Amino acid sequence: MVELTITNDGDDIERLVLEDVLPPGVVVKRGSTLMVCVLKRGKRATLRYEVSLNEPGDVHFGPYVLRVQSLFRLTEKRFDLVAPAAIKIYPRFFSRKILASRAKALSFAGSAPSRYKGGRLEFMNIRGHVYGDPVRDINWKASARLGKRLVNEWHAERGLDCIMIVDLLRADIPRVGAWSGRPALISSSYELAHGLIGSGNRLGLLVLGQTPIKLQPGFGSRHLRVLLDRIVTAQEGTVWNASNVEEFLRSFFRRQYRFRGGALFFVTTTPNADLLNAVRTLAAKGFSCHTIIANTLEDEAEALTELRGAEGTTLAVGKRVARAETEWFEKRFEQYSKVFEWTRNSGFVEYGRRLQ
Amino acid sequence: MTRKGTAALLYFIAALCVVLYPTTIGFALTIGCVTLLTLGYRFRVDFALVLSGWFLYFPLAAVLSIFFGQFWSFLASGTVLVMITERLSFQNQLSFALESSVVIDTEVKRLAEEISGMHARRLIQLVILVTIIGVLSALGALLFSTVSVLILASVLILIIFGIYATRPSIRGTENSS
Repeated sequence: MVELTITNDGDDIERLVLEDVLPPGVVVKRGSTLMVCVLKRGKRATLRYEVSLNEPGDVHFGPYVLRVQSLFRLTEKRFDLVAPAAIKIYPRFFSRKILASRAKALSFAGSAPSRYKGGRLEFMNIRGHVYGDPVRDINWKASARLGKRLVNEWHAERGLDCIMIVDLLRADIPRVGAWSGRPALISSSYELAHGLIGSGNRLGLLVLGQTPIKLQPGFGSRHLRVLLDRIVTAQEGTVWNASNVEEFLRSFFRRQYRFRGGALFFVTTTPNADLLNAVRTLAAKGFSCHTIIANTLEDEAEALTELRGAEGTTLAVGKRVARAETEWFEKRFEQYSKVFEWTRNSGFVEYGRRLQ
Repeated sequence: MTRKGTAALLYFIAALCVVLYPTTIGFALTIGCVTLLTLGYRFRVDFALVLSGWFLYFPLAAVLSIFFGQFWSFLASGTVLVMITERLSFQNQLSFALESSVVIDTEVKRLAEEISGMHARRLIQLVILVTIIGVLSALGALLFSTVSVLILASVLILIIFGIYATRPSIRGTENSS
């Protein structure tokens, strides 16, 4: 619900036209963005309407137009004003707790010990202090009680250093009328991030599109929230594409690039030659690559039917062609990476398993 | 009267013009009026709605001149069409505010009704003023030369428009927030 209230501190206004300018992607569900009224001195009027925000993203409400007119519109004064407000639309949360849940298809995750020290996931034991033990591991309470210096022992952190690369290139996001594949892409990225972090992995982020968004690997629910925020606010664009991935890995994810210890997860809605080339190059350099294809064909077909863009046989043929194209790419991607297909209903399914 | 009703009234007048003034020019102007009215109504273009009234000015005046004198016919034709098209373009704008199937609150509806009533009252006042000026002009024409009466009527109409155009509300808007 959006409310915009104006108060008249001046003289009586015979005809006031108030029009709110909607940001792109926002659809009015109830009410209207335009109000025509008489506004006497000291009175106030409120424009109310309900919007539906289907696409995850960062929506900024701002400008609105105020027209003060004479009753017959013989004279008019126009004011372009700003009432700033922002809403972040997140994908639907399927669980508040971090659980591996539907990403359990990615069974390798969480099984390997991390290359980096400093993991403090699980407390193991208390032992005597030896030269070289870090001061922060000293258990001061136990040391005071027993009169000798004791330190805590921790399980080595298990998990991979994963980097999720989300393809938000405008050309790679399918669009039919008001429908877009972006929500599916964000949901699949979030679900993957949820699963990977839930399995004890560190997860970094690289979003391709208008402005490259980079986030160093980390774990925990706070990191997941930051990650989600970054994905939701990322803008589609045409500037950064898959061919820039290696450059970003080298310059920003230096440790992961040097050790090749982690895994790369490419998330896309439309597999394409650029992405295939990037996966091929990085796999050849020793990276463990994974390609996640968010399947939006059914939603796209529904949107087409609603718009009457295609029906019956044409739609069926179109779906078959699109399916064949996706499968062709999946087969190529499989030579260099593990391929998973994500659908809203069944989560992640590995390419080979689906074929069986 | 609703937006649909006002548009129907204009269609009815156009149909009347075709029947009672069956000439080529009358027919062409009426077709132009109907086309513009349909486009303006369908796509909510105010300019097309106002222009449709202009197209009907001559045919309607010709029809009315069957019953009244030419002076009164042209005056009445202009007044009626200005009234209808002004009302239609106003309702057009208002319909944007009330177009939603479920208006969220009654406030918007109440405000719209308030301004609609005020607009209708002011239109009636305008018609009364035009009639008074017409009558005075007709009387003046009997006593003075036609040109001086025309100048007087024009000046009076300009004054009336001036009064409506420069309401104090416009002057005070710098203080609005």
